Amino acid sequence: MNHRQKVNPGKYLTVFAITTLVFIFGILVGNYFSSQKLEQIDDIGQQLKTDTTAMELQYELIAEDPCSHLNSTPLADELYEMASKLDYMENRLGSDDPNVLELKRYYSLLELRHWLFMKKTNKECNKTSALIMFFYKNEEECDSCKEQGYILTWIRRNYKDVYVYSFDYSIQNAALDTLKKIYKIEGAPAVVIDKDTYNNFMSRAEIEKILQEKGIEMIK
Amino acid sequence: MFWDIVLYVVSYFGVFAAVFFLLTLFENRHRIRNPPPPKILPKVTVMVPACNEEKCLGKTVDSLLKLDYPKKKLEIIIIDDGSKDNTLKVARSYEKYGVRVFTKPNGGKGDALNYGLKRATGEFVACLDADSMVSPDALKKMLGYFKRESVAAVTPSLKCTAPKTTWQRIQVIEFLLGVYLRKVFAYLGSIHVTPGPFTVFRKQFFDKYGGYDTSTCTEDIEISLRIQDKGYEIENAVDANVYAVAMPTFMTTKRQRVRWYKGFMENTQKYKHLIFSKRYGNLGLFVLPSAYLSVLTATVMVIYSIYVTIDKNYQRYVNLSSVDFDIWRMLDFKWDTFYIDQSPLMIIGLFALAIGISMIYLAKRLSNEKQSLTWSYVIFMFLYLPLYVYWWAGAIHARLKNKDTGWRGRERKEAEIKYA
Repeated sequence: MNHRQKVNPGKYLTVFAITTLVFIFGILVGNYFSSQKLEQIDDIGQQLKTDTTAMELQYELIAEDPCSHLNSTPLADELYEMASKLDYMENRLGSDDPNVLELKRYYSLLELRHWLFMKKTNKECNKTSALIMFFYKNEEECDSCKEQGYILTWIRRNYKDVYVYSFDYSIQNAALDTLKKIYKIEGAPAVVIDKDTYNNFMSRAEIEKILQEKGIEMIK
Repeated sequence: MFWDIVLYVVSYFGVFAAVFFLLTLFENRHRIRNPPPPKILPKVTVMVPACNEEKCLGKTVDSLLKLDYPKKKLEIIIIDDGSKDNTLKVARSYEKYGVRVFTKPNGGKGDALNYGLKRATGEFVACLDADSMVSPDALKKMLGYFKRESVAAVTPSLKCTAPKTTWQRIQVIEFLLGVYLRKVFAYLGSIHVTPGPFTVFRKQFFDKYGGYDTSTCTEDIEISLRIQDKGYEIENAVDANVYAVAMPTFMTTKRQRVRWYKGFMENTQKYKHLIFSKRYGNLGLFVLPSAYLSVLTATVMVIYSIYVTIDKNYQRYVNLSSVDFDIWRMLDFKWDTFYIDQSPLMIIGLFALAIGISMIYLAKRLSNEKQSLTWSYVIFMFLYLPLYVYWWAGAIHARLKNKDTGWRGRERKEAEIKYA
């Protein structure tokens, strides 16, 4: 018996075309969602910029007793949300993605602006907020950076008036370079608590000890 | 980046195969119905090889006696393959219904079937494993295909009875996918497994090309590849339902799958001239290579999942240990659609999932399956891939070590002992 089905090359080509179309569709839709997310982060950044300016202006406008009218917590929350989303996109698209890098540069400047403002209000309003700067590098270059970041998130969630500002050590801009010089940042991980620089990994206990010495209370 | 490329390649193959099979079914949608049975029904012999099957043999023979087929044209032969329990006694109790019973020293399933073939008087022969049951209308639905002289065998839809254990739930879906694929393979002229339960053969084929190969642990794969090799056709009657009791435990399921996959390797090696041969059409160029490629694909996916799980959980463990496992404070309860994975691979994965669900749906519809399978499908989705790779690893190990994987009777016996 010699009953054999012949192969239909046209069918294989059709399936090849359909599969390729599915992949092109998947890649286009996936990239569309990614760009939407990056736009969303950009929107948060723009909103943050407006809100920071508004707060700075508010501070200048309320000549009498500006300190009692200020509440910087919502702005800090916006910063943390932007950081979290940026981190998610960095994991998804890679730390060398140009869009991610651009947003990170922008985010660093917003953080710096917020940090400067907090520093000013700390001084003029006699506030005792702890301002922590954290310099990190991506996973391949710094083993303990993720862990350090996690500890600082825990600190922020457990202590009143603690603000954490994370900066990618590799990002280059004039403001950040100046900051690194002023605080003598040598690499990552590095932590700056108010004026003191620690160019090494800091355990939770070490940070807690410093905060307690500064009179920062834990959230009950 | 490395894993991204690997996952894209693997997904491309998966989607290509799924689309190819779906398109084949769509092309042949007008040919789904079985051809009518011949006006003069031929004589059919059903052989039931049994080795230590005292508990399930009765149900199997009962289902055969209920077949909608003239009794004069139906010959039932039970071959007791040296059982040590009461299988022979159970078999003898059916002699009063005209069932022919033979006993012989243990020699394996293939040997028992060859023993039966020598005594079979039907124009067509079928085998029914002693743990399976056939629906009354199955035989008539299958015989119409033999009108074409080139058809040497017709396969039924092999399904599982209502599942009770997790392992059986997984097999219910696995068998249903088998129902779908076997129909598609029939359209492609590429059926390479004629299931032990109730595949009907033209006896003439055995007379011409010899009986079952007793040297293999999966004689059903050997005979189907031999049929393909000799240029005959294997058809499928998708609504001719045959039910088997799925293996109830992890170990028995593993032993059965290891035997199947080892047998597949043995027989594809024996018939290696079929692979990548244009002469054997879709079977040689796509279906058989795909079977091996699917193992590679599944292995890559499982290794990737294990790698990601270990990597993420290790970092999570390091992080949590640095804050004395204060999980409560570190949990994020805020719901934000931003964090839903909408990456290209996820979109393609969703497409593949949709095809997978439609395959199950089509298999259910084509074979008139009534039981609800939602839970089974959920369990299947999470557990099947790692199990599949694990079983294949076992089969490759057994093949390399040339380990004896026994025959079905042994698996059944072990299942009964553990399940009792």
